[in-house]
Amino acid sequence: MSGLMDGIYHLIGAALPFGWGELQFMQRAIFGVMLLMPLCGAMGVHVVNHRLAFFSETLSHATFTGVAIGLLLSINPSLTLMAFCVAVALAINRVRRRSNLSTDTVVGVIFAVSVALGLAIISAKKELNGALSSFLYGDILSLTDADMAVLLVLFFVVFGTLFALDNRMHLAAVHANLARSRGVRVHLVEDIYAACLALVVAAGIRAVGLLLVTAMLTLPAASARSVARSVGQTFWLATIFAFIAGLAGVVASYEIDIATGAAIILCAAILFALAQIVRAARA
Amino acid sequence: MSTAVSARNSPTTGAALSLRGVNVRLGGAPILRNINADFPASRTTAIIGPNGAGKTTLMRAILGFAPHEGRIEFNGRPLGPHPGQNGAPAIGYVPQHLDFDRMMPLTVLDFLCLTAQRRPLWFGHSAAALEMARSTLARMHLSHFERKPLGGLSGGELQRVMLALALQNNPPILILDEPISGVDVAGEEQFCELLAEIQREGRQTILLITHDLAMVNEHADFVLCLNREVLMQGPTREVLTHENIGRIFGLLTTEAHQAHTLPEEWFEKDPLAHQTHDHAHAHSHTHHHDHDHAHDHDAEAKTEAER
Repeated sequence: MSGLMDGIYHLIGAALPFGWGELQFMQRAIFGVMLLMPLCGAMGVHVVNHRLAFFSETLSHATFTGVAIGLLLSINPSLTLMAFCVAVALAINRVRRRSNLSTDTVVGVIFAVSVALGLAIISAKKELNGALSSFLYGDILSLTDADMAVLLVLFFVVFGTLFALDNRMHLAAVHANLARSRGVRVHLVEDIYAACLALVVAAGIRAVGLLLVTAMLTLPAASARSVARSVGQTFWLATIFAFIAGLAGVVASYEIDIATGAAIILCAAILFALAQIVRAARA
Repeated sequence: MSTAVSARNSPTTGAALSLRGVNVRLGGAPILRNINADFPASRTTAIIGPNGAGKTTLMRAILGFAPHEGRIEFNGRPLGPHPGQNGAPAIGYVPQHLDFDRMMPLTVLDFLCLTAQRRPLWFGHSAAALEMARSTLARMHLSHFERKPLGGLSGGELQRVMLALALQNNPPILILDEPISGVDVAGEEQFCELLAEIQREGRQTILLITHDLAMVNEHADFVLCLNREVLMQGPTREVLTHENIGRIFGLLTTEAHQAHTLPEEWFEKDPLAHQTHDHAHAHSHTHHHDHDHAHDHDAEAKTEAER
């Protein structure tokens, strides 16, 4: 695995201009962005179409509790955060379908419960505070080889899943029962997508922190949707916008010495503003 | 209530789709009780009844979305929970005038290809899906819409595209759920013309859920009157009489005499018929069980949204 990683870093190093490629942390950061940002862009399309911004915000806050649980039980927090995040995603779907409450109410309740649980744990174990801050703010420059390997696997798993489910997710976004009448198992598709989203959020936390991960999902997709005219255009533009924002963010954070996560989101916001201008100019 | 009006002629001959002893409960409360119904092959059967009568639930049971007791069979074979899969007959479904996110970037061609190809649309439309989508659009006289965004269509245009999608894989059953409610008069006429064409082709056994008695008169060969249970069923001319209409809708009104003031146009193919829709709605809303039914309707709407 490390041989593969070294090879990839070497290629990235050779491709980067202005001597950025000579810095090993830049090679890692760029590779991280290359894997993570297209995932966020592509998954974000459905976050926007299915109105899951609050849902993904809840998942990002659940990671905080997932980490706290890991630290409390002395299990690798990267594992507990993924597991807890997926559990929360599936729990929301389950409760939402069974209750007579609106989706935002159910999401809000589970949001509150998971954050309260996390706060309860860290308030009881004050020594955990320090370890948590890296999850709050994230740092793409500190990704380890193991993190990279996880991202690489996630990249293929999530894109493979999207390949299989994307059309069905779009049809379900238009009309769930219509999708059912065409043989789409809407609940199953939603659950698989939610689990993938949870994994992407969990991975995204390491890069930009839990405060900003939802923006990474929504901004590129929202920009794409503003200018795209078809499903295909939306997908490619979202993926490309996310990728550009990621690259520009890493470089900007290095050049002007600001937090990488914040730089990525600000770059994505600039693209969003440009997309609005293009849209307005067309109308 | 079930004995209030009995069907003189139950269309048992040539029934393609038949329901026997179908019960549906929602959260423990019975929504449909002991439904026995027949839908003759290649003909159109309208399902009518007041709000909250369980029309939508019946449709959901047939489509396999609502768990039910009893048998639902098509040509003697049970319809499974997944129409169109594992050898079960496909069902074309045109939902009620769609309330969806109209700003979604989705062209009409995209929409038709979503169900016609496995590979995601971001790898382009597959040749086979494109051909299928284009021939469906041509059959529905909608070819000029193919590049239009789905959300940019008028209500009538959208329902025609929905009909195109429903018929894309030539299903033996077609379910239309209030297809023209919320559609303007021009759109309604175009939709009805298209429906008439499909009926002439006679490939589908059609179930038409509607409030619109003019549409029933125009398009339905048979009528099934529903209010939690089957009130009556039979050929349209026999079921849709002054007296019966009064009983079905008037049954639930506080002033029984209202039933006799139903406009003549309901019973004839009259261009003025459309103007009477408001009366029809007024009638179905004045019954004294309003609260109960409003509640049931909410419950139905909720499951509709959540499922």
